[in-house]
Amino acid sequence: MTIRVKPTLLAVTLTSFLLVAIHREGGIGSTRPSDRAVQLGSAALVSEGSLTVPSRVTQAVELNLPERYWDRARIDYSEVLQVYVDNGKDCCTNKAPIVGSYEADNRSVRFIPKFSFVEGQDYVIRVQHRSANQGVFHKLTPFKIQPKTPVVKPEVTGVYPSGNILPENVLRLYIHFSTPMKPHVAFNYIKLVDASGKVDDAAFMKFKQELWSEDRKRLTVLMDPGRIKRNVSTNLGLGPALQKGESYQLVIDGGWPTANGTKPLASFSKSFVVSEALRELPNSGNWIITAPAIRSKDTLTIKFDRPFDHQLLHKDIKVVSIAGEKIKGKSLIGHHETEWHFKPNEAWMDEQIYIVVDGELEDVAGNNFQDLLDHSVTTETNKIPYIFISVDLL
Amino acid sequence: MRLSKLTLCATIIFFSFLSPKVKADNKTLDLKFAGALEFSNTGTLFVGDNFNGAIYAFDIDADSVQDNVKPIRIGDIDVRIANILGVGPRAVEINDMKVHPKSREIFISVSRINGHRSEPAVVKVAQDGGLEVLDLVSYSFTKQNLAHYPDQKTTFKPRGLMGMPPTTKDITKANNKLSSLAIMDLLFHEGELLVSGVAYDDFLSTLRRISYPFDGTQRATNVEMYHIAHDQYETRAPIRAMSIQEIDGKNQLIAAYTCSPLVLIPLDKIVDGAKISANTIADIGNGQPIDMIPYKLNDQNLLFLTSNSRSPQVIPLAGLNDAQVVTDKDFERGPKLDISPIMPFGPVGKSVMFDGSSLHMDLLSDNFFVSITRDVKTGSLNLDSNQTIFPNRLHNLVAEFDFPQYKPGANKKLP
Repeated sequence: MTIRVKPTLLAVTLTSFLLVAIHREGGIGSTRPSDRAVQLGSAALVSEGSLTVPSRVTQAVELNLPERYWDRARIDYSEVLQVYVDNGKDCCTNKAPIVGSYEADNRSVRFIPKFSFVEGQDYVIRVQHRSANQGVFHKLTPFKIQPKTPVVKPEVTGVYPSGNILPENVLRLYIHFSTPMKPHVAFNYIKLVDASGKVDDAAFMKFKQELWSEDRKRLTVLMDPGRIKRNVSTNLGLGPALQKGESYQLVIDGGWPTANGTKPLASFSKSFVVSEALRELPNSGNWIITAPAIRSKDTLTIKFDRPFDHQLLHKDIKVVSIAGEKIKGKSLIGHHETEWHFKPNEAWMDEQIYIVVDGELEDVAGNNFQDLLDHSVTTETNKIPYIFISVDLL
Repeated sequence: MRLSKLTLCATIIFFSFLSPKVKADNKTLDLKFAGALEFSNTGTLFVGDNFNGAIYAFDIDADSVQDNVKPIRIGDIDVRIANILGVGPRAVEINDMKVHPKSREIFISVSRINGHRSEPAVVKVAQDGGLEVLDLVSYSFTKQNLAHYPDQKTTFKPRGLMGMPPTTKDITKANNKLSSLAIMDLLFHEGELLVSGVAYDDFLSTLRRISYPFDGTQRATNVEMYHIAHDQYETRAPIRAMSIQEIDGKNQLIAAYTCSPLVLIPLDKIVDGAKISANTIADIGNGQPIDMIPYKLNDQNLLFLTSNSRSPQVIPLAGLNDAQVVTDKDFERGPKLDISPIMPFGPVGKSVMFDGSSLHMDLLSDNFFVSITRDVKTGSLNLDSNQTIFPNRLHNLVAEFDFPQYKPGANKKLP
């Protein structure tokens, strides 16, 4: 698409640009006359040609030459038309224009940049004009080619734990978004609401920094551990945020802006019922393991004794050959984080394999194989770096 | 048993043995990256392209032979280059700089970053300070593909400082491909181009000798050297900066490596297919050398060696004659930090003051270096000319001399 700026439109653009410039400078008296958008007399505009502002990175800048240039034998086009890297506020003193070439017939001139324009970069086109009463002056036309970012509807794409029954002492919630969200405002939008519609303002742990993933699309929300841990002061004062047998909603209000300021987030809610707190260490002895057949590419399946932390499940379980090499394959978390499936890239070759579980793999309440999140200060922790589960293949 | 032992042995590095084309190719210009630069004595510009694994030679005629070379100073050189390339200043990476032997114009190789792509450009700075983007396609050129160019997949291994886990920046560094070090430094010497960098196999540090004009012949030698500061024999990390000088009566390559050993390699040892041991004679200490510039001051032949993390080192060439060649047998075992009593070791010359950090340097004239320097106070990147005798500016220093009450000569004795 080509935007052809007609002289009248150009007048409006430039006049408004000038007004902005004057406003910023705090008055017309402080603007410098040269190298600036100069106040336009209507007489000057009528005789000027139109300018084609690029809307694509590979498009040239084209200027229809005013009549006085027509049929002139020698014109230095680099004097007439230039493009600068600039936002147009203070262009273009002591600055070199973008390198490029000129193509011209006797009615118009085209500036073709040596390197294509860059999306999102501010540019200014500077055109030399001449009028009887002002002599030589320059008009500036700023432009920017908007980036072609794919349109992603801002929405919550998942919440973990994904089940609808959560233990009373659930610790960590992961909220996944389709696009990076504006930081530092999360708790204006995220709420815990009980069955009567009452919002619990103290349910979540609030830090100075929010816990965003590197791509800023996953937010970790912690239930305030002071409410979970029994007999600490917040627990005694406010009681636990979640009560066994009650139902709640995690509500994320709509209107949360995305990080790049496009459309706001659509609202989201997740209902759940609270079950008994998890107060025992996880026990891999109670896991049900379905062994695959040797020389097949069958899936290895573990059914856990409880739901585990969604994020840690991605890294804390490995399958290792008898020779100690990590077996490559795809893992999948199933049934509200109570199952783990592993499909090898290559067929199973060993009669025996090991499932290696990091001792710090936590359940949804923050308990791992070493200790409970909520334990007495005198309880000794288990020094278990890893749990090896030997599996005989079928 | 810990899992780390189990999984470490699963780390496998794949090398794809691509058969390299070693013929000179003179068709359309397909330069993808303008990296290391070098000039022949007559003004042929060599440009190292680490993306294509090739060296391009352009015939850049001198506009004029410059006899009276003036120092040049250009503030915000990165911004100015970005302006003419049509991008913001953060979208320009300066890769190398060299001075034309006749015209004394300054040539700067850059990458113009556009989204996930980068485009190569070479910018010329004229004696009057004017900047010009070379229209590289308008020059006649020849191209030499590198034999044993590393594969395009293998990246570095993440490493944290002194046992700490790697930081995000360490991991970003490790995401770079080994092939990004395929061409580290170029050196033209008597009809040959010497190329330091890494090549295809597990013994990566390689020196190439390529005949010019390109006729397809190139010799590649793997180089091993004893690194005093690291107390180990290193075969992978490439030569960062080099120079050829007559030492002990024969032409020898003087090479500087990261952290920062100096070694000598007799030129006649660089033969195709050889694995050679360089003669380690010195170690300046930790840091990464950038440029090694031979120059003359008060009838003394010197090397000016810049580093990304140390003051420059001025090394008298005379001191390299009869230098003791050392191996691990000459020291107590163990790595040697800069604070070790034996560091710096050998005929390393003097560490000299340099205000700011020079990212690229070359000799502009008999009396001046030209340097692209990061200003310590403002962070700006400037093209400076520095006198070889005292390569400094004064604007970031306040000394006794700056006070209005100071009278030259009056401070020579106690009042």
